[in-house]
Amino acid sequence: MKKQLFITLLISLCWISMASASSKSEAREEISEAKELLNTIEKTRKYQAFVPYRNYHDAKVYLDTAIYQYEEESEYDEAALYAVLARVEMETVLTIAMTRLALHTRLEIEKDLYEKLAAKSSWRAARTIAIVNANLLQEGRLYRQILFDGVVFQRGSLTLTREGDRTVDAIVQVLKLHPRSRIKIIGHTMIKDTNNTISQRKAESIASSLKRKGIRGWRMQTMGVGSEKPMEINDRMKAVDRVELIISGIR
Amino acid sequence: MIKEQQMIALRAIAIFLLLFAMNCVVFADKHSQREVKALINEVETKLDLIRAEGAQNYAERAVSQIDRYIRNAKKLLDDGDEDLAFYEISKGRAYFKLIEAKKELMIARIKLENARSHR
Repeated sequence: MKKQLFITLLISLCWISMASASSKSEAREEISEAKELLNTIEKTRKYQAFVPYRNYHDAKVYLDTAIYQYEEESEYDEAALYAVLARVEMETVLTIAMTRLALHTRLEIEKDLYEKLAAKSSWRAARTIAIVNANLLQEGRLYRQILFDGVVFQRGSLTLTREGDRTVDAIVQVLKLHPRSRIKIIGHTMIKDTNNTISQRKAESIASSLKRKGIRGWRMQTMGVGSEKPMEINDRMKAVDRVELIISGIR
Repeated sequence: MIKEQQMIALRAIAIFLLLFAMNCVVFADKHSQREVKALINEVETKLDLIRAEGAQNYAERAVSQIDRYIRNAKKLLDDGDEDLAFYEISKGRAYFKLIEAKKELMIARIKLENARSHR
């Protein structure tokens, strides 16, 4: 009888100690994992700004409780519970920090993208405004402008007037904003022009003015046609002293 | 002789009763079986829902852990240990927040990749 009693007691004690040992080892492992995660969160600099501090605080409280229950109270079941809660909360903190970092990176990329788009659209707007400012008329793929001698040249010379200078500036602006464009400058005269000398010189005067303002020679073509190509004024064709500008390559 | 044996038996019963009483005092039940059962059902329902959403694709480990804790809690409840069952199911319940965070992370990463591909 005594033997039976002793064996029963021994089995009971073994069962209790085994259950307790399992909780103890679970608590120990979970505490160690939670500590490792805490270390990762605290040491990884890129997550620092994105840590959700409320969850982080909860996780630390769980961890402290688990350690207290384990070391001070030897309550291994409770220690295991709080250790699991701490480890899962730490994992959640880390996941949230990673999510926030991904969102932040995405916003940075999108900001950069929108800035580029805005710059592109403002550049397009500038190109259109330049065409309008230069009074260029669109004819298919070409843009045309007629400069009358009386407006652009000083009387009796090929020196540009102030108005002429302003017009050339506006044309320069268009050519600079459309780097692939080219300009054809055609001089016309009212009277007959032997060998087209005068009309050629008028065209060259405009060309050299453009060159001085930074337009390269290969983009320009000059020609004088004398009075051969009259223009339509009030339903009648009339030879007029003028310089015609034709710009191609604007897209 | 018989009396002596009866005395030993009575002593054994008394020790058992004493141990049982001590056990009841030290591990006094704080959670009822009904309460823990309701909790297990709640966790099971929630797990089924997130499984249907495809949580296994982004939080496989967490899903299997909840499964494990549900099984443990049920077993402990069958053994009559409500408190430990409560602890086990509470551990399982903690994983839902993590699964939600993992889902958010997956979405954020997909959006980040999309933004990168448009760069």
